[in-house]
Amino acid sequence: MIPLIDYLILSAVLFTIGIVGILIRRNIITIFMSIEIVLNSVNLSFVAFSRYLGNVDGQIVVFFILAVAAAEAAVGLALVVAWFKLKESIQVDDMKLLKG
Amino acid sequence: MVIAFYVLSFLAIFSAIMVVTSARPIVSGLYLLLCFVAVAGLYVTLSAPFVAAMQLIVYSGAIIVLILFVIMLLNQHTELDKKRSKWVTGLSTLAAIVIGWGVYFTFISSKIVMAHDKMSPIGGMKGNVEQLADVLFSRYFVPFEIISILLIAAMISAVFISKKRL
Repeated sequence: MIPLIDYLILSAVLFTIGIVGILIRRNIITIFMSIEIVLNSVNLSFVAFSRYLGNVDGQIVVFFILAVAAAEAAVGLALVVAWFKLKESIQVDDMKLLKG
Repeated sequence: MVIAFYVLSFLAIFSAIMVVTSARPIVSGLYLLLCFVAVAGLYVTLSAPFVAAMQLIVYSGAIIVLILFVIMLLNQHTELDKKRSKWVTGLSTLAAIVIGWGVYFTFISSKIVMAHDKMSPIGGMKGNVEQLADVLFSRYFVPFEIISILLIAAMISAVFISKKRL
């Protein structure tokens, strides 16, 4: 049998990879994909806890996270498209309109 | 099942690393698809078939298609030359690894986590959807309805933002 800690270590590794992606990439779509990896790692730990504690509530939370991720994807990508129409760039270093 | 766990977790970690390191966004998107499918397989090993199906439909079906569609629409297939110094990249990688190590250390030092080395006898493949429906439509009924309002709001705002004139 696989112990619970194996799933949690996998989740922590995926979380770390996602955070590294958010911090080192400058292409906004790749940053977006890294955020999805982080959300997936959190989902994985929720389902693992739900299975090992014998409580189905964790899977319900995953369902809600999926719905919020879908909403986030729709609005975020619409913002990226609107920004690209304005500036012809998807690099986060070019996003400095508020920088006085 | 142990073999399935190790193969799927290797696939998930490998494809996540490729998402972060590959230079072209379209390659990252396809590796992200592989990562999502591997995580869906891990949900099946955790005997959560409903969540696995949701993962395949919503993430690999809808979100990946949306991301790839936007990549092709924007037509920016390569990343520009790096303007940021190696210093900042190394430092941010180190900071992220410190954060991840903190998460790992919290898991390792928790007695409750270490005590569970067997899956619970309650809950399994059989009747998973019925159990989920029972809990979802009784205790979590109000959040479930609010989620639908959130989805409508997201849809309307996405249509409004991508209109020609704001």
